[in-house]
Amino acid sequence: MEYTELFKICGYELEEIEKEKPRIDKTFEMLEIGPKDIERALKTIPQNFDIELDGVRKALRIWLEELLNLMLAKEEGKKLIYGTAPGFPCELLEAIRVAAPEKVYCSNPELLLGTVLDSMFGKHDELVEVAEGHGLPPGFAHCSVGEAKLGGVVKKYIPVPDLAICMGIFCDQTPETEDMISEVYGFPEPIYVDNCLDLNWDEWDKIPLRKIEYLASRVRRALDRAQEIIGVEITDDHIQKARVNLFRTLDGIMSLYGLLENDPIPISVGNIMPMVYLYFNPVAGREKVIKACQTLYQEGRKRIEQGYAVVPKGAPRVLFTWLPNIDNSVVHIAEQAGLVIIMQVVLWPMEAQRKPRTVQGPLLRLAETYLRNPYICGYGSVNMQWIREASEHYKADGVFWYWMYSCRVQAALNPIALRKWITDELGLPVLILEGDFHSTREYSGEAARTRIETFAEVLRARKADKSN
Amino acid sequence: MDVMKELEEHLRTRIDEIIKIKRQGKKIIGYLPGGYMPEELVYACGAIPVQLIRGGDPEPVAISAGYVPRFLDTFCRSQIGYKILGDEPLYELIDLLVAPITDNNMRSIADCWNFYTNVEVFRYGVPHTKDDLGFNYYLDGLNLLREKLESFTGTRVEDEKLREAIALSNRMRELFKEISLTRKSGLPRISSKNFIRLNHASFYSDREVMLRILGSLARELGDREDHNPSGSRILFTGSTLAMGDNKVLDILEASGAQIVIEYFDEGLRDYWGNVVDDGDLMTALADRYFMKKISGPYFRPSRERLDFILKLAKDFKVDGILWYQLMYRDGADIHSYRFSRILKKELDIPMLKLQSDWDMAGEIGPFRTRIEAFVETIGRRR
Repeated sequence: MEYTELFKICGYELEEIEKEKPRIDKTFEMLEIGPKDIERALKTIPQNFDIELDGVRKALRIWLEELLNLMLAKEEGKKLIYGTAPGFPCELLEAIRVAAPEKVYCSNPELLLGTVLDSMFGKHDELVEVAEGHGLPPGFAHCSVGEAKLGGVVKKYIPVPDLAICMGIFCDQTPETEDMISEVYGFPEPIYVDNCLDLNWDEWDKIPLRKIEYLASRVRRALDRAQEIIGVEITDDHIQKARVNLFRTLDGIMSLYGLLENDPIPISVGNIMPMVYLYFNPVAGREKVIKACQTLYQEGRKRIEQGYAVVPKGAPRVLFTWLPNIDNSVVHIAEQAGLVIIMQVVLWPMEAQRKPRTVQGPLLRLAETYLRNPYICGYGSVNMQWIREASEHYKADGVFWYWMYSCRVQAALNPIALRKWITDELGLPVLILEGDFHSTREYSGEAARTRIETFAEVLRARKADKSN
Repeated sequence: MDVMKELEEHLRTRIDEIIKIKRQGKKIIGYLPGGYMPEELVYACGAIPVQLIRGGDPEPVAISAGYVPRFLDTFCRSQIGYKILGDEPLYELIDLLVAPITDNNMRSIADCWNFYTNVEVFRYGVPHTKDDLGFNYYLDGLNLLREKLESFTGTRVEDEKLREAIALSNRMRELFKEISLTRKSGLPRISSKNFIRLNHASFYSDREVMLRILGSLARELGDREDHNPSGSRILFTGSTLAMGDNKVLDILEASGAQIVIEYFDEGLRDYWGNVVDDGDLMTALADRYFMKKISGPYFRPSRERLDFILKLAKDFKVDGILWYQLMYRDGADIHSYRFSRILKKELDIPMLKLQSDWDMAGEIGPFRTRIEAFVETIGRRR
């Protein structure tokens, strides 16, 4: 099967492709990736990503590497430990990997498969359709991440792990799906990392110690179980190393968002998303992600010097919630309409997040960090505060609230209430777009084109009014 | 039944009574359904508990579209609809809304009431795993609830009062269980509609009146003779059975089938176990309301719930299962799939799954057709 061109555009050299051929052949066979899929990928990848940028190719390469690593981990003698997308707290799997990198491979398989199989090969919807016949029927707004997982399990794409850790710190659907998968499809019974979304409306900046301790204890129990599997103690040192690795990765990603503060922007935010999702998915070595970020950053700086503009100078700037990891058409349409998407909720730290931690020890500090994140812990009032601070910091012209219709967390965050608040309190226009981040069957950028273009017109008109 | 007439008489004037009680300075404490809010604590500080369990109407669901996204559980969306419409007098009387947070759907009710109303909302979490960590977290939550109720009402929760409240709530649970178990064999001595009516009434009626009515009914049913069963025996289960959501009951009973047992996560009183007062009362409450309570589908793991429904099906010798869930309640839907597989393996009796968004016009016809066909299928198998 001819896939050289595909791997080349994803940053591989010829010799590397040759060396990896047995692993690639085996992986593609297991995932039923054939010539038609590769042909599709050769069209899809350049549509979704700017492959002229070496940093982007490095990121795409990491996704492919991790796909090979996931599919072959057990054959290659490693213990296989899963988390669940979106993977919070990310440090949990990273700590396990840091403790025993040669013995274990960690992954959020649905995220990995979803990103690679869909954004590259366009095969994600096959998994979703399989899932719909096996417990997550259509019409009930089941999470497409869960559908990808279930579909991957039923089709035996996803290898059976030695341990499943279910991260349900803000999500109900993932644990419910994992519970079903273990009962019906023979996966090991998961260990659940639990959290309660019970902060009172005005208490979001005072995280009680009991909440921090509860989450930390749950993470510790998951690590204890992982220790039994890998036969290596996972210490506070490993947790701290994991935190440092993820800080550094986040730093790299934030430097890329820093490029978007330039006017005009030198790279599309769609090219940053593969890095963002690599933050959430464990990788066999964070250095390569950091390197990819650094490469893309340098390329971005060079483009700034050259006066390169993805969107014309002076374009309106919008905050956004989240973007799909499988389809950049929404981003492209927004940018073609003359909008600059500058920052997303989950990443930029608001003031309450930047305050020093009130607890000691890497595990407690880890728990407190996550509990302070407005998006992750899903408090409506916190998101309002985030938007207030971020809109002031970035001088935003509007807010683009793109939310996943099948995510109860995002629905409960209540974009309708948020829009009312943003409009009344901040006077900013808001576009709410309902979509699906992991499946394009029902929602696509094209379907939203008219609304995005109209929103861009409104923002341009307001901006012109202000300057007059 | 005379007791049902007595109940309706009481309920007819209950709202006025609550208004009078409120004018006298007592607090009305609303709370979300699910069975994780011990009413005993509310009674012990001299307040009146009222569960938010109104439902079944399409208008509040439609109105809610302007306040909360569509892809949340129907019941949860409708609660802001009822409040905004102002049609439900009980909801207008609530001084404090207590929100045990079980899942994101329930959380959205708390968020909506916080954002769109002036009613104060107090939340505490229901952990999703039953172990020492979950128990301690839940117990902490109950202690915070107690402190909140005490400061809100200005009344300390004395052990003696709490003990008395526990005894009365235990008695209510025992009576409900006694009445429910009369349907275990033979012709049910009380219709499901009346039994559900009693459940819903107990969430806002006067406790003493309710206990008297239940006591009379238990005696009356105990004296009745067993008749040979006629009609198929149905277990009615699902996510939420709200007060006012009667269409499925009406259709089923008109079809000649008998619902002999119900199990819903929200909407019916959890009468299957009592608080055991053998030490610290708060620990006893946490034990009963968290550890011993059958877990909801949002628990991790949640097999306990499915096993319990299966046990009910066996104990009550049902001929079929009617699974009734509301739209977008994710856990319930996943459970319906899991349960259908377990049922096939263990009992091999038919199961009909219905899902509703309280769209009366669009649902009654298709529901009738499906339920009648289901009852006919069961009848032929018998």
